[in-house]
Amino acid sequence: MRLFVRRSTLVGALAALAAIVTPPTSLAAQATGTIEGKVFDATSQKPLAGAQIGLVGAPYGATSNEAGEYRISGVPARQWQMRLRLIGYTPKTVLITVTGGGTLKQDFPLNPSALSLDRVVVTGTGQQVEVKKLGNTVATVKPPEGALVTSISDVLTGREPGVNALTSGGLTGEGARIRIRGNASLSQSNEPIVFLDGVRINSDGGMLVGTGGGGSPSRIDDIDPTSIDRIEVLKGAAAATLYGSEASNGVIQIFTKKGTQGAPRWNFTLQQDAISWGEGQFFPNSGFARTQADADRLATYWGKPGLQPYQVFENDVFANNFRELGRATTAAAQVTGGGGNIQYFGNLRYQAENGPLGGTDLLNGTGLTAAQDRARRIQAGLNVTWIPMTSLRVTARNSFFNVLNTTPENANNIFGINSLAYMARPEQANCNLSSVRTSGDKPRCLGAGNPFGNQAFMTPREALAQTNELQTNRFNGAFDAVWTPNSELTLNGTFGYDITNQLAVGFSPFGYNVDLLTLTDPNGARNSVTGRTRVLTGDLKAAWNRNFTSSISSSFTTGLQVFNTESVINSTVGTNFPGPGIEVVGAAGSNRDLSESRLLQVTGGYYAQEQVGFNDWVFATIGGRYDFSSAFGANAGGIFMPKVSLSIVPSDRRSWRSTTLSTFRVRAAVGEAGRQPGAFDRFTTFSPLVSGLGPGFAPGQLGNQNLRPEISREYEAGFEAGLFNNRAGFDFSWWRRETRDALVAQQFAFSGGFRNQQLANLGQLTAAGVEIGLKGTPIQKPGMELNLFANAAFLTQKVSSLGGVPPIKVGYVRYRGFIKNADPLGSLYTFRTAPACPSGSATNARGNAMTCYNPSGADPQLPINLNGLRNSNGTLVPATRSQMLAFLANPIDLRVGATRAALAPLVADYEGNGTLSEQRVGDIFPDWTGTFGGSLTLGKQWRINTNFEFRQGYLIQNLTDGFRLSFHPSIGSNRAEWSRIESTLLNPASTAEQRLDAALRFVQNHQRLTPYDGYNMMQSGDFARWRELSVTWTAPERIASRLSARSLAVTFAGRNLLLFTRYPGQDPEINAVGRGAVANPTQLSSPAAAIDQNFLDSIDAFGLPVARRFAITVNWGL
Amino acid sequence: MSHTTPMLRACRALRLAGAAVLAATLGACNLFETSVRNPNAITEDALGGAAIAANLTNGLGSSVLRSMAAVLGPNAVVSDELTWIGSREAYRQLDEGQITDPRNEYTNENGYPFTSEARWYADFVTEDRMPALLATVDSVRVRPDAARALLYSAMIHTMIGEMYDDFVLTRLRAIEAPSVGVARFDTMFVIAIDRATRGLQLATTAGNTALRRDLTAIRARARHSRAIKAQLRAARAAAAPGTSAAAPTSPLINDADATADAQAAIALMTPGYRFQFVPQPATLPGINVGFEMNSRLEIRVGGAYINPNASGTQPLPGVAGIRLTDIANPTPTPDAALARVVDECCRSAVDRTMPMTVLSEVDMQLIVAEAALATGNTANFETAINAVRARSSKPAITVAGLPTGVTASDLLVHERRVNLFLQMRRLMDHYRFGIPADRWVTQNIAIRRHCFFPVSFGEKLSNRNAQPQPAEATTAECR
Repeated sequence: MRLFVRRSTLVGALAALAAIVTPPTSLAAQATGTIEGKVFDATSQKPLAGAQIGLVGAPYGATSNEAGEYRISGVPARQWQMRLRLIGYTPKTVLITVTGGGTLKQDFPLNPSALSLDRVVVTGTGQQVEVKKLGNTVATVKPPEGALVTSISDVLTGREPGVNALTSGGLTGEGARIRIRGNASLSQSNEPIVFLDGVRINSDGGMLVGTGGGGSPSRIDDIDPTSIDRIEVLKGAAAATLYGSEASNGVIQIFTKKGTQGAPRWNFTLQQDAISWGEGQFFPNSGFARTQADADRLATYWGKPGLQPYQVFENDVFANNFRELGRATTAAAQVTGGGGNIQYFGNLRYQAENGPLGGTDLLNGTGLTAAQDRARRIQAGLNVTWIPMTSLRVTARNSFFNVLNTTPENANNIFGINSLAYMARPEQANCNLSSVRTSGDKPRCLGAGNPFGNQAFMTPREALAQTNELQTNRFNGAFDAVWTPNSELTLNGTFGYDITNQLAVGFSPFGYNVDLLTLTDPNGARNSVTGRTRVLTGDLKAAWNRNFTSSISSSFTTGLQVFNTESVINSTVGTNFPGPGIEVVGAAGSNRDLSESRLLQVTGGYYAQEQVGFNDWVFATIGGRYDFSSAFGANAGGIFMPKVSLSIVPSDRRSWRSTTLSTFRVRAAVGEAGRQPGAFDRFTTFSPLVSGLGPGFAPGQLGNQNLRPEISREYEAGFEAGLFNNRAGFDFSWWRRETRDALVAQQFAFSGGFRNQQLANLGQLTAAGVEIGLKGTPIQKPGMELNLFANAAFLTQKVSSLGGVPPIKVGYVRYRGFIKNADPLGSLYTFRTAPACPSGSATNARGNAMTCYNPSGADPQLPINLNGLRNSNGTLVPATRSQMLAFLANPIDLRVGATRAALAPLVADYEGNGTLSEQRVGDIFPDWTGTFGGSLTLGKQWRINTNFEFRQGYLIQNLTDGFRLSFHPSIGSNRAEWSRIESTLLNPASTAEQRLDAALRFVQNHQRLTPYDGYNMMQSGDFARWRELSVTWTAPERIASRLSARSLAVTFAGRNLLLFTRYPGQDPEINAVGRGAVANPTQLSSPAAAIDQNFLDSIDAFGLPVARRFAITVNWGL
Repeated sequence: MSHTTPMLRACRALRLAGAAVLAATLGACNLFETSVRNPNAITEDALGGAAIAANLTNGLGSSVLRSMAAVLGPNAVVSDELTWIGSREAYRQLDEGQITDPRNEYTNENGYPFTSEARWYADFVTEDRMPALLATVDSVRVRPDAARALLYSAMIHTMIGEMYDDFVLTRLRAIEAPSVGVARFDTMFVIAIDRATRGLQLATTAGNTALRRDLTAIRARARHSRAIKAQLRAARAAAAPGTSAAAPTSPLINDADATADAQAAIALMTPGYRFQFVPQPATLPGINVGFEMNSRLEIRVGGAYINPNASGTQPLPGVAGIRLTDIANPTPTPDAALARVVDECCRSAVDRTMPMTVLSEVDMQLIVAEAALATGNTANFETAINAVRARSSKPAITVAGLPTGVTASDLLVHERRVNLFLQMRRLMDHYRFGIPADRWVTQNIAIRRHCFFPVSFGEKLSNRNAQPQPAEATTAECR
């Protein structure tokens, strides 16, 4: 009996499966036909992939493949309206008639269009909507054809005005920080929220173990960039209202490719990359001998015969020893196909990259493994679309990502390979503990030694033996059902999951102190961290579309959305292994520590929106969202965010005749969205604190039960103009954002017991910007097409009010950023040199007299405050030239503190605020950002794409040169410019005049760190970078078919080819913080950590420059 | 089964489907539940009941420990005990005697915040939570924990009294309370002595000898340090602003209460007794004296104490690493007391979990010896100082037999130097005995004005009633 039941269950299951894969009788019985054809460029005849073809009012559709071909089968026999859309081309609608059992051929020759108002978007709209109906901007980014992009970060870099993907340096695997229209929040993450096919995903970053900042991955980059169809970007609150209390920094939605009908079509890609740091990207280390004996020793050691005392010599320690040619290999396969009821798309990609960091030979013979900059990604996905009946479409997508990141200790980190190489002083180099094996540019010690002259912490070789690794296994999927019971009503349910399992290990092996310099855990240390993040999405929505009259249409959508996020992180630490070969924390002999943190956050919201159209050229939208969340304070309740927008397209009026101004639209929108506090910010807590006394706890967080989301209201207005039948297009947007109830991380007085900052809805921020886009096709003729584009965005941001809270310091003491009431966001403050005052006294911003110096006359004054002298009213006294020459009559040694103290700069209070060290000098956020470039198509075979990215109007805090070009007893002071100053002042053979010249340079340019001045450390970061170039050759069909291929293309591409800048440091794109782990809501983080992520930008602190990359790619279609 | 009609089967299937949908919907309801818990920390409403008293007190002790770990390094770098060898100029400032810069990252970002937390928490525990618990039926059970909390409270107030020139005292949160002021700074010791006295009463009632011993000892230390600070403050106030303050003319302390407490504590102690805080890795913030000295290598023991290794980062191994000799021994011999404490604190093996001595029998003996010396009671001085020397197996001395040029006062200063090494006492001795540290620069405030740590930049930035303002300003007495 049991057996029978089992068998019947099995039979039932099989029957159910058969029912799934077999078209319902009602469909099968109906006469159907097939539509197929080709989509191609009308001028070049080049096939066009990715075009979306659909039948109006029914779930039948297809996407053109790489050969431009599409096929839709099982279409009920009748007359249909058929519509094609492809971004960058003019859309087409045709009337067709499908006959039972017949195959209809329908080709689509397309013309480029610089404007795409007819393209359809779904993000933030509740349903599919043409862009022209929206009063707000929704950007659509297509993966750039041919461009050398290895990650989603690359796909987003420099595509859309106002959307910035910020790299932080040149270590492989580094993810970009993404900022859209600047910073809507002071204390919360300014990363946009990210969706994949309608499902909220984990978009955190970080290595889970500390590495110094660089090489930190972004979880967005887990996604295979070749599997995506497009990315839709909502830039701010006006567009993102329907996403509610987490969307004020915008929304990014990534859409994967869907299956297309037909026999399986395979596409294979093989790519080989070369990655390098070019010549001149690093500054050599310098030094000089102080005695003849030293000079003789160094002449031998560094192979510099004839070296004299006080003669400055150089060696590029990093470039000579730690640079190699990086390599990457990518292999990918995609397949698509299916029948009338089921279509599929599958992708598999393997990418392995070993970056340009070298130096592994330094550890030869030690038995230790050298840290490397590697990234390996295995990405697999399957999309299946099932159409069981005319009114129902079900889509299921499952993806799996296996990612491995390894990165060395780096950046602003005394144990970083590059930082130690930058700190080395060749004059101090020696192999005293063993003997020199080789000398010259690449000295090596036979055993323990200090071959590059490191004065503190550890040698670069010891740093090289420390490794960091992060393994990620991630499962991500979406299940989506769309039911269209009639032509007016659509019901849509989406359920999704995103589960990220991670294991991170920071490891120093037993005996890694091969040079006997470091005393940091010489017997080894290990930090092992496991993290699990689970994000669940539930989304139900209904759309009701109806034409009430021939001129009035209505689209109503309403929905319910919930995100349930859980995160658990376990960390174990231990040091002092009993012997070599051990790689488990459990074997550690001391400093064993473990921690576990858990987070659960639930956020949900209801939304509704009504859009009314008049005569299909005037559209008005009104809508709103109500949110509730576990993160809101007990007294805060829910929160409502409204939106309204208007779009007018005069060129869609039937009476519009102009082909010069072929398209014209004006639009305006206003909307609100929020950013909510962290999951537990509202609670007053006491945190566990243990010692030898036993278990205990201490003050943790002050708490605030009134916490609610901060609300950004964004106003946006703009227009689009298409010229000359849309061969040229111009797009302009102005926006203004006001963030009220801004979550200020208030540092309450420490005397009140709670050291941690506490969030309160106190502040107000304002920001405004302009975005401009220009596209055109100046040449379009058979055999040649030239497309050009340029876009730019302007941004200004200000702290309108801190709500009475005192200024907030950003980062540690050496960073000079504060958040101050009424100042621009990201402002930097430092000392400023007093001005010259040849004709009377200078005045400050308040009209009062301020310190100045008179450079004219027989004995001119200099901007030096010798020995800190002040006059009777306390103001600083400038030194005269004769005083300085007397002071410098004999050699002086800058290593002597009193000497440096004597040579103080003459500084002034320009602002009249009474605080000389806090004079505002600018801010860290560029005023202008943008990209320009173009593509050239020659015949059917050749296509060239290129672009340049630029940023203008911002300051970089150059801490690297703050150390390397100023005095420091143990690190830095090792660039030639500095060594010349120091040696000139010290050399008995120098004249007083020569010493004065050196002293002036010291005071005016190199007094930087004394003690926290940042003086002369802020430098303009303006740059333009030749970001991308690609040349693609598509094989003629006869050649491809000879190789049994349906299509064949070869691409040569480069990335980060050239840099144009006056920034005197290493690279204006370096940033100290990297892609950190702060991205609500999937990790616990403090407001202080978020403030660092938001405002420790543009800091050059011992980072690695952006590397160049070249690749050859072969695409082979079957 | 055979009688089942297709219609009935369809109905059953529908019911099954309905049940599945209902179950799925109910299951999905959990997705919407917004009453989530925070299992990572204790919420304030959970801090009730006698069961939590011990852990409340442990937490206070750990908090006091943490603040000492944050303050000890900067303090010892100002003195000649430790010296800077690393990357951060904040230590250079301190090493050269620039002690009063409110922006100094060690005093501003670590010392003051952690010390403030421990001080506020001490009030929270001893003045708010413990009285409530002592008023319940569980008072007998709570009494030892309440006494222990008062011990930690006395410790933190004593340390603040010794190491700071001004501080902000408040029992409230999130307010801008005025600072005590340089003139009224004696308040810190008054509070410390009061807490110790109340603790002693509780410990006595509870019959807890160990707590009586420690509470008596901390009161002795507080009274002794109070007298030192009063001397220094008087000398500083006597010197006109901008001029140099002189060392006290009679630096030796003879405070009858302090001496009585010290003698009472000695009676309760075993020879060589020490109260030590022992951290665990999780106790300490990223920057603490053990890590900074033995791992990061920002600082190491000063050149007057040790012979460093070739790279200048640590003492040479063993006794070869001890430079400071026993001044009472005519034959230059590395001081055994110093050798012992350097082994405990200042070698890489110790790393970040360096134990910190707060109270000790030798400390009490040194208070007794100093009082004897101040009153010219040589016999008592010799007894006490020889008890100190015996703890590190150094030979007994007589004042008359001291080597030429070595006075009894010199010996007292020396024994304090080696026996109270890294116990935050050396800076006061530098000032009161007129012995500048080796790295102090003549123009700097440590030499000129004998100042201690200020109210920090961060406190003054967020508390506009903490003086002097603006936040980067220093007090008039210390300019």
